[in-house]
Amino acid sequence: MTDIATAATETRPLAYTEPGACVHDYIELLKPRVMSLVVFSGLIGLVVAPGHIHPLLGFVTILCIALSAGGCGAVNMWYDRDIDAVMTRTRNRPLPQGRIEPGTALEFGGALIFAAVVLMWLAVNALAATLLAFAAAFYVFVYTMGLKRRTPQNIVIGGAAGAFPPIIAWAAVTGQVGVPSILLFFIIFFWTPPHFWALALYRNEDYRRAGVPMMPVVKGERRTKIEMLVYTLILFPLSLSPYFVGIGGPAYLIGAALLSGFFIFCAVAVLRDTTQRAAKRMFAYSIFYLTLLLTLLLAEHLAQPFLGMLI
Amino acid sequence: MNAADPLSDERRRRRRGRNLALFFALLAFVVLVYAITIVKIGAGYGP
Repeated sequence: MTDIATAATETRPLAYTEPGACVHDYIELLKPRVMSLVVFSGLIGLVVAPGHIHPLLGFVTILCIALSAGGCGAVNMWYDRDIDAVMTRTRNRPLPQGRIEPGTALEFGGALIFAAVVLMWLAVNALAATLLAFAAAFYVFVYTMGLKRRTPQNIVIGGAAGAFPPIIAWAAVTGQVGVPSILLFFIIFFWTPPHFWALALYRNEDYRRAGVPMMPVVKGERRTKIEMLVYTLILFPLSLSPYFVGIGGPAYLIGAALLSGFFIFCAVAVLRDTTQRAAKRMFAYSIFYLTLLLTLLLAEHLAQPFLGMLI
Repeated sequence: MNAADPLSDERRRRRRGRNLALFFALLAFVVLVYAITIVKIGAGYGP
């Protein structure tokens, strides 16, 4: 940790520099790409949950999930500013570049999380707000401050934070935590390790230099690739489960089987590949996979009334 | 602001951008809270 901090300080000045931040820098603090997937998975939880929520309150639910996720991103960038400065992928972020003061990023992130939880509580319900607060606390304290620099299981356990949105959205509609939302949680939870480790495989040097104990750094590429395959195998039956609890139809079942089957194929390709090409392909496919899987659920659910009219 | 200090112009431009963003964010928040209140009253929430 001290070595990392020293290396970071030597690489780039962390001091705030003129002419200060523009609005785009604050948007970057929110990690918009991560936020988009979080928002989308929350939207799925909202749509497939039984019951009705006023459209405005549904919008507030998604907004609160987005604000909280963004706030977590800002706090994460505040805490990780030393290692971000060392890594190629992150060294152009606003904090390592000195465009935003660290304290400002922390306040910005903290204020967003606080506002999101309070708004969720006042506008939606106490359970959704509690789950939102728990997910944010888990991401900040358990993942960012606790696990990320200590164990190769960092993104496995930390991945739980990113898997919460469907449960939160479901709770917003129904006022309780349902089994289908827990299954959606586990789909995202088991999707996270192969997704991040595919990235870590071809960014291995970056993580090694920053001292982040990602699986390929600590256990080696072979072990990482085997575990990625194991996770995709677990994901296969899990991805089909929404069909069996009634939130997915036959189109989803077929689509999920094909998508998950190809995910396993990608993991096998990564295992057999000695270059980084398969890992890059798998990383890209993992994003496509989750997006399409959730889109299938959404599309089928939205199409249901029309299908009902036809039959 | 003057030609001898070109950084000043950029700093002012960025600060104006931040202020405008904050203004619109606060405005949106006020409108949102108002709309939520109307929805809640309409749904018969509250004492």
